[in-house]
Formats: sequence, structure tokens, C-alpha cells
Amino acid sequence: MDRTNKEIVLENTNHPSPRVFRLDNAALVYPAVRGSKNPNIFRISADLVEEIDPHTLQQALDASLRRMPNFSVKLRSGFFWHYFVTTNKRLLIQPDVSNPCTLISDKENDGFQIRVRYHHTRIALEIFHSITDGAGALLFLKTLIGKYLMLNGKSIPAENGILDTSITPGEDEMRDAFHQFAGEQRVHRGKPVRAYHVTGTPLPAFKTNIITGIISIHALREHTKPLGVTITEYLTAVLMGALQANQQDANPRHILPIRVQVPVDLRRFVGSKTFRNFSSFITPSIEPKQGHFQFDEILHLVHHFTRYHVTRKYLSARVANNIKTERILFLRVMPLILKNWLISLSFKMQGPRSYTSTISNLGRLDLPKEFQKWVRSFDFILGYSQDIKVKCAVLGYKENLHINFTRSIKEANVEREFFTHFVKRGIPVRVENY
Amino acid sequence: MPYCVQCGVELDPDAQSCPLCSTHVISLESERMKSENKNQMLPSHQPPSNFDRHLWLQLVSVGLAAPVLICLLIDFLFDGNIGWAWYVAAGFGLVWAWSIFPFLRERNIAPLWIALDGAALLLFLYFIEKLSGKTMWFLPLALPIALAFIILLEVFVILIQKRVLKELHILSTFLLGIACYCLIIDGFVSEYIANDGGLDWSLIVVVACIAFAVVLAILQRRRWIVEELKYWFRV
Repeated sequence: MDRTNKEIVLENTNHPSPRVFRLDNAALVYPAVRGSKNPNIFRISADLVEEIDPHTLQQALDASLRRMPNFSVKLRSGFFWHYFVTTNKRLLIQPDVSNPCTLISDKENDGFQIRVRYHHTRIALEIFHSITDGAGALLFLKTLIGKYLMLNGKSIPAENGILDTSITPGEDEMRDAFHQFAGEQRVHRGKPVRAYHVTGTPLPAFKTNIITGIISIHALREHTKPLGVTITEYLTAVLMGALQANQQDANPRHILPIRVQVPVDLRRFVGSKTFRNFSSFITPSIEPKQGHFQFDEILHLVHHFTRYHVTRKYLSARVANNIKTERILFLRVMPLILKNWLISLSFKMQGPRSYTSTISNLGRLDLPKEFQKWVRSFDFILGYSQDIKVKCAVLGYKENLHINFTRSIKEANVEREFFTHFVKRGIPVRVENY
Repeated sequence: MPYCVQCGVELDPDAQSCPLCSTHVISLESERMKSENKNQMLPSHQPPSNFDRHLWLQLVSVGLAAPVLICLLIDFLFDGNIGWAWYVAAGFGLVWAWSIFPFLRERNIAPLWIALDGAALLLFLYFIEKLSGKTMWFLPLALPIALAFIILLEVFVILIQKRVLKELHILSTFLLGIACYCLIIDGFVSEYIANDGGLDWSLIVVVACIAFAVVLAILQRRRWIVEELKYWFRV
């Protein structure tokens, strides 16, 4: 790792000429609103069985970036839009830090919008949300680890999302799939409703608190199956219940709706292979002004809300609405500096103010047995934000579900309420500081 | 494996307290594993600012030196000596000092640069008095008023940095600071002009400021009002 960047660039001169990508529809907003208080970064990490060899990891990263070139890009500002341009520089792996998901600065990262960190047995990928969503990042990390294990002499088949790095990237893998998915009909989001926000003692700048709760998938499924709900619906309802209790304790006089944003991967509707952003979200909510909601009532509401909204028709109509906004002539001809200001203002007025928290579930990883033998666990972490003070990210692997809470305040009341829900119902929870 | 007696969750073998409720974990020392927390030894990461400090210092220095040199040259060429151009030089010198002191160090230490900026202000005022020459106003008037401003600002900034003041208390202390400063200005101006040191207009400001400061201090005790104000002012 002690070679200079110049030497490394000379080694990589066989790269093709730079390629320019437009930002996809979901990615447009992030460059305008990102900052040290809201870096819009998320992280997926894997804990391997053996100690990481940095040299081999660097080689694996080089190969993975060649296979997935939309991750090897710099973010540039044009006159009208931001755009990505591929770079021939080499992204260097970095040692891990105690406060993940800090803002990616051009100065320290050669313009790359991703970081790969390592520490003992852990490999972590931190990524700016404009590049891709959780599913895309997971694909990259699986490919990276697969290549790393292969370089270490392990036999890993290129299947279940582990890509063969010797294959040339396909056009469909780098396509902005939103345009293909958008329907002809549009559905408006409606007037943004002000939602409850968790409050507490702010942590110092660049500090974040992450708590991991580990629950057996089998135990949870046994519990949710008779209720006829999915694990995501159940976890969303538990989070909403915890937020309701938090509001009752913190501010019983001024009750606001509890709204939780739940991202939805759109790949499952059209079988898209894209590595870029391709997700939308739904926002189930409860209105505690109507009275205290029992957990069963919340679960019932979340279940039916999800079933009604997570359909191809509804989501494609929502995407169509976003695409339509992007195509407004007035916005297209507006210079980027004004566009950034307008997006930032609109985001401040409508974005995080209209929901209380986020819960993102990437599902249970289905990986080849040869791979599972060498990887102990996976963790998914959403970056901190000053606007949304508590966020939740979920990822299942092997027998366990890892639920990571990121918070930018000292108090862990929401997490406590969340995890004790399971303990009260006889589902064991193991809690760790990440 | 230790469990939290409050939350009922299972904890890390090396956990000292529960991450959810901070309850101290009581377990036999022999049971406690000696393994260190995986992340405890990791360094903290602070992303570098995109602001280029050195470029700013160079730009400000060159950008302000150029007009000063031009003024000095013009004054000298037309009059054969330098007169009015000293005022321009002193003014630009003060702007230069105020522009560079906050960025002298990588880590921004506000009390330090406020002190340095204050010293530059005092030096500027002294220089102007020396240039104008006739009346003596620096020692009896400018020095105490400027010094009081610097000291009040220093105290205010330190109280915020030490987190003694929070939210609406910052505003109420700011108002009390203004009241205090008006009293000082009024007192010294009266002493300088009429030699009586009596207070006049400042008493009206003091009453208004104290009234608002008390209202803000009362509002601060109502948590939901503070949250509402934060929402409406987008803080």
C-alpha cells in the first residue's frame, strides 16, 4: 500500500477511455443535499473467517472495479447537471475507522465516491447513494469478496450475485432502469405531511452511534408466520411502535404522525440487471392523534399498506412522476448552481420532514456454500443524518438477522423499545456495539 | 453470556454496560473474556474540508495588498509624500487581519482568533488616532468600548463552545450581552462628551433586552416549544 499513486496510474494505463454516465433519477438529489451533516453514505461489511490480506484485497478490488465500471467514477459538475465520469486512477483500500459513513471528500479519495475499508477479518464497502442502492452495493461487495477468496486459492462459483470478473460488463448492467420501469400513468405523492422527529442530545460532529441487534431468522419466522406478515412488515411495525412510545415520552402534548420510509427494490418487478440505483420507497404511517395504537393494530395497518402499495402498477406510476419532474423543460435549462439550490430547498421543505425514520431490509443473502464457509457475517449500516436521527438497516445471512441502528443522538430509547419488544415475546436478542 | 437485567437482551461477553440502557453489567471476572472490543482501537475519521486554507490566505493577501500599493503609489506620485493613503492601508490591513486570523490554524479555535482580531482592531484605532493627530479619543473612548466588545464576545463564544449555553439560552444571553454593552457605550460616551458618566438611552435598551431574555428563558423550560421553534426556523 506504500506505492505512490503515480506508479499505480502507470500500471493501469490499459484502461479504456473515460466514459460518461448521467445520474439516474434517484441519484439526482443526493449531490445537491449532501454535506458533513448529511453525507448520504451507507455501508455494507462482511466478517470473514480469516485475517484480511490487504495486498490481495487491493487486487480483488481492481478486478471488481473493472467488472463494474460504474463504481469507478468521479462525480463532476456540468453546467446543467452533475455527471459521472470513469477514472483510470486506482482506488486504494483504507484501514477501517471507528466512525463509519463520514462524508467522502474529493481530497482524500481521488474523487471516487466509494471506499473499501478493512480491519482484521472485516471488509467494508462505504458508498455514496448516487452511485447505487443497497442491492447494487451488495452485488459489488459479494463480487469483491468472491474475487478476494478466489485470489486466496478458494474455489468460489460465480453465481447468486457473485460476478465473474473476467467477463466484460454488459450495457444492461449500467443502464438507468427507471426510464424503462416508468409507466404511462402518474401518481402524485400528495402534500407532504409533517412527521414526528426523534429528538435528543446531539453527538459531536462526525460521531455516530451504531447498535447491532442479532436475532435468529428461524425464531422470527416462527413468530411472524402465524400472523401472515413478512419479516419486513413485522420489523417496520415494531419500529413504528417504538417511535410512538418515544413520542409519548418525549412530547406528549404535541402529537405528530409516525411515518417510516421503507425502500423497495424494483429489480424484482422487471428482473433488471442494473448495478445503479433502482429502488423506490413506501411510507406507512400511523396517526397517534387518533389514540394510542396497539402493536397488532400497527402491524395490521403496515401489512395492508404494504400490500396495497408494493405493486408494479403503483410503483411504476410513482417513478413516472419523478421522471416527469426530471424532464420539466424549466428545470432542464436551469444552470446547475440554481438547480442545486432549488433541490436543496425543496428537500429541506419536503424531504426528511415528512418521515420519522427509515428501515431498509436487504433481505436474506442466498450465497453458495463454498462462499458461506469463509464469511461469518454481513452487516448493513445506513449513514448518520442530522435530520433523521435514528435509522435502521437489516440484513439476513445464514441463520441470523443483523439489525443495525444508526443514531446521531446520545439516547438509545428507540433501540431499547425496539429490541425489548422481541425479548418480551420470547425471541432472544443479542445486542452489540458495532 | 451476560444479560442486561433491565432490557433482557444478551450482551457481548466483554460488555461493561448495556448499549441500550447503560445499565452496568455485573459478571464474574473469570467469565469476562479478555478480548478487546473490535472497534475500540480504531482511529476516528474526520473528512478534510473542501475549503483550501492556503489558497484563501494567498488570495486575500495578494488581493488586498494590490490596491494598498496602488493607493500608496498614487498618493506619493501626486503629493510627493504619503498622506490619505495611510488610512486606506490601515483599513485594508484590518480587513486582511480579520480575513486570515480565523484560518491560520487547521483547527478553528474561535477564542484565539477573536482575541487576535480584537488586537488588530485596537491597533487600527490607535493608528487612526495617531494619523488624525489632534483629538485624544483612543484611550478615554475607543479602547474601553472596543475592549468591552472583545471581552463580551470572548465570554459568549466560550460559553457556547463549553455547551453551558444551549438553544434559547444562547439568544437570551446574547440579549443580556447587548444590554451590558449598551450600558458601557452609554457610560463612556457620556463621560467623554459631558464628563458626567450618567446613563441615558441605554436604560431603555436594557429594559427591552432583559424582558425578552426572561421570556426566552421561560420558553426554554418548555421542551415542545423549543422543538416547534426549531421546526419553524429550520434549525
